[in-house]
Amino acid sequence: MIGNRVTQRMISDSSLRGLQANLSRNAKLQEQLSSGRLVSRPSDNPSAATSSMQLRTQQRLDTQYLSNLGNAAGRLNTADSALQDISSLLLRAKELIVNAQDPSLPDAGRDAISAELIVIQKGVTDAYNTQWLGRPIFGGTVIGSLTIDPAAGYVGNDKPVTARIARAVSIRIDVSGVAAGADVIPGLLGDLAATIDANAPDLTGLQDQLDAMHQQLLTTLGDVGARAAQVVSTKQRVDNEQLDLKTRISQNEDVDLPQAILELQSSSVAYQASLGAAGKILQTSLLDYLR
Amino acid sequence: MTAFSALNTSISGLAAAQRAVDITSQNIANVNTPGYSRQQIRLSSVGSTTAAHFYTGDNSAILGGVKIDDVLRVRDAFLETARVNAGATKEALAVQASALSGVEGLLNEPGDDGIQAVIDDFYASWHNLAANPGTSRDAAAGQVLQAATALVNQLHFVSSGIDERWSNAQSQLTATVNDLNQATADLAVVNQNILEGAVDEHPINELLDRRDSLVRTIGELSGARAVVKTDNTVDVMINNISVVSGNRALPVTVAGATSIGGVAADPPHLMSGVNNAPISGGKLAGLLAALGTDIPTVATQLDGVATSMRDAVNTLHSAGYTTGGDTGLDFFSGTGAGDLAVVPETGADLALSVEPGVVDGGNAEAIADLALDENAEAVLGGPGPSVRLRALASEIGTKLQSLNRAVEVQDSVFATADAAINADAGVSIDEEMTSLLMYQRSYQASARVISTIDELLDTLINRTAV
Repeated sequence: MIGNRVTQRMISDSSLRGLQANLSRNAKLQEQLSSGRLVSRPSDNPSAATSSMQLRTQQRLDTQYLSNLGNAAGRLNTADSALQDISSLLLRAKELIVNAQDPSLPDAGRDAISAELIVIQKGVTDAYNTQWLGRPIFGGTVIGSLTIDPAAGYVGNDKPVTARIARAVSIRIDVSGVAAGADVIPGLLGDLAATIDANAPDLTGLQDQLDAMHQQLLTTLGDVGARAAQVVSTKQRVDNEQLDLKTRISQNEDVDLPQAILELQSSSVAYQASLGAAGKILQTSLLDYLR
Repeated sequence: MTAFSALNTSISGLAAAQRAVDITSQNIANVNTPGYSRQQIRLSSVGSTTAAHFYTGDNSAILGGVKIDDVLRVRDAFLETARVNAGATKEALAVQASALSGVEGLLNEPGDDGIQAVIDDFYASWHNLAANPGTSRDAAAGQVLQAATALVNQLHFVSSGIDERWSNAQSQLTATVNDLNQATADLAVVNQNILEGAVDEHPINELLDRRDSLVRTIGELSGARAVVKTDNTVDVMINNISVVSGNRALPVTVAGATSIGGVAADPPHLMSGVNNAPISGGKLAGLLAALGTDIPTVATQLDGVATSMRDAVNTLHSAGYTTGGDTGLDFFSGTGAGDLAVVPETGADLALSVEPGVVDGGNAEAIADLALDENAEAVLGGPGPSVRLRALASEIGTKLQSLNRAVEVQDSVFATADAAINADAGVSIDEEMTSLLMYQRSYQASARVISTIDELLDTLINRTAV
């Protein structure tokens, strides 16, 4: 760059250029340090910027999956406790039915059993109408908020309600009213109550039916438990993935602090050196040595 | 040789030394003047008269002193051309990069408050609606509408920002063309002055400096090529279209679209009279590239993001059913990023179910699933909004990165060319001080010669034969 002939102007120009270059390097490092980010514009590193955008989208999705998982867990837990309530009510009903078959039982005793069965029927119906955020958990996708209407009986449908809990993983978060016996059990209990009221009740058929339905309900309960377990393990996985994404975004766009500080140090030393050199060389000329 | 001829010789020496000091003082005075070329005095010795001396018979040469031939302006035309070209390329790249970097800043990517973030929030709001189709539906549906409005607003903001950047660049183009026309008009006047100066034999070195600095300006503005003619005037051509010819300047005008919408039909360009003036260098070329290609490309790509978003969401939304059983409803309307709008006014207009007469949230989930690129692609049969947005960011980033690198390279090319001119034509204070000393001494010596001859004559006239 420097030819045979060197002029003051050349020296001042090149000093200025050097100072500018050093100062702009300082400014860039300063920006990186104060923002903490290596990539703050696409042009800083186009590929890192676009993968950052993609990673952020995934991160946002994972946040949403976690919220969906919380929702699914809540719904399944509610279903679980409702089913357990029904199950214990049915156990009591079965006990009562065994008692009712005792031939020495007086009529008044049978009346009492019949009345208690009606109470149990009501309890079971209430349990089937359990809601989660205004939705009936055993009612499928029915528009109303009841699974069993006091007048119309079972009004639910068997369509699944699902939630996306991870990339391409959906889980059913409601319980089929049919599988849980919502369409049969209340009626069965009513029939039993009516039959026990009679004089010589033959309960075997109804008892078998109730046993079968209880068995089916317990199977459904197991299924709900299995799904709840899947929710827990998926949550673990999504949590881990989110941590991993955070690390990757940080690796992608965050400043390596020690490195940036060292670079700033050496770049400001270079800046000071060029300032010093410029100050020394620009001061002198032949004029200083002529009398 | 006579004493008198030596006097004349000395007088010519005095005159030459004085003139040389003049030139040196001019050089020193202009040490910081941009575009000044140092001047050098060119001296030659005056030869003898041919005849042998009549009285002495001495026919050795009679010295006639020193003659000032001319004052040389030190400037290498090739270095100057290299500097003009380097300046033109540098300006073109710098202005193009600066226009594009304004657009890049608008995108705010990568980050938590760019377009991608509002798109992600929008999809997430559909997830929430899918998860809460019950009594909390109103809140979730309101969230969907708010997220959609935020998305639309962000697209409007970026889109209008791009339009504004384009208009700014357009005003800059007009202003730059005015600068160019001013410079070419000035150059035509300088050309005229040079011709007149040459006729009157006035010194024209300063005019030539002025000419060269105008050529530099014109080059930086338009990448024009200057041809120096034998009479020292220059003609300037932009890609074979003459803009300065002798003492005539031909102004250039701006034509073409005056808003970003018209670029496709009639991109901004320059005219000289009724002819197209294709520009391939300088600030104007950079501005035209930004106006004609760079900024409109970004705008088109952003429109692509908006329309693919509209199409993907509408396809799914219109296939679903609202709680009221309505179907075939659009979610977004509009033709691009600038006028995208949200159609549903209340949460009840959201088609969240796959089937009529039920609330299953399945359609809301399908819309939420557009967040996955492969799903959006399956619905659209082409790239989805997020893919397009990333492509936009990547393209703008890559282009700007390479422009920035080119600017850096061209800066140093320009600096080299400038330094080469400074090395050749710049004033060195040390050198001028040395010359000053030299000429001062030669003046003193010539004066001493005169006083010596004076003493000789004194001896001859006053002391001899008295």
